[in-house]
Amino acid sequence: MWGLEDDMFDEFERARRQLEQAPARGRPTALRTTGAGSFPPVNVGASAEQVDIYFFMAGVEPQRLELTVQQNLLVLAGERLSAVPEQAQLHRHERGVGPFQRMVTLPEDVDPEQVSAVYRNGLLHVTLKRRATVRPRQIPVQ
Amino acid sequence: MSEQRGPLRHGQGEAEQVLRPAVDIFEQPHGITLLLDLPGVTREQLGIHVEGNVLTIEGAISIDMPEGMTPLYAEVRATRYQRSFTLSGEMDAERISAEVKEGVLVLHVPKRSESRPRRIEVSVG
Repeated sequence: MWGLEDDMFDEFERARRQLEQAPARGRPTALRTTGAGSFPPVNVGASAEQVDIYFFMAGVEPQRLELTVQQNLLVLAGERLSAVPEQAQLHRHERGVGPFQRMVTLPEDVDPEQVSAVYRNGLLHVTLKRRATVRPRQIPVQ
Repeated sequence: MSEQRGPLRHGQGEAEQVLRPAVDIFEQPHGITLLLDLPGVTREQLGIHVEGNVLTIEGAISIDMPEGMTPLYAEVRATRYQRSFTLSGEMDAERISAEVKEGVLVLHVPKRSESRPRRIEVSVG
């Protein structure tokens, strides 16, 4: 079961290396973010029909999330609140708290009207449909 | 409580990439609480076990990926989380309780009753 996804992530790794090795070859790449290392980490994938964006952000209340798409820019803004009681003695504090924002540049052909987002198990999955007109079409040869 | 470092125990064969989840640890009179970020892990894919005084948390990431998807960019490139902690003797590993909420694992480790501050009732005669 996991074999498939391991392959998937290898693919991600290859794609990432390619991005790093060839940062500026004429046209900008399909994606720009505020930089790796920011919260939340993001993975992006695409098919002919849609673009899928995954934000890894545990412990954020959905009502503290704001997702907007403007032109070709997807902006995720939110805030993570501390879950540590004030009177508790803190031994380790690695989980960041406070407001955050990340931006992802989308391919030109996404339809800003057809966006859906699901937050489950601390993973925000955003799906953006691509416009049908620019999908590759097979033309029958008479 | 301290953290286990060093080689992972399942390290036979190829080294598998494992994510180290961020943790908050705090103490209250009745025990300690650990909060671990495990985004993408379902309840079924989560493992918590205690061996001796070592508490280990493991989780596999499940991602809902549509057919025909090509990856474009990835900051999360492993599919598993793992992290271990050593419990001090005053902690009662037998009575750990766990809950998961929005990808955050909340573990309560109670102190053994003899290590807890006791409130002594004073009765007025």
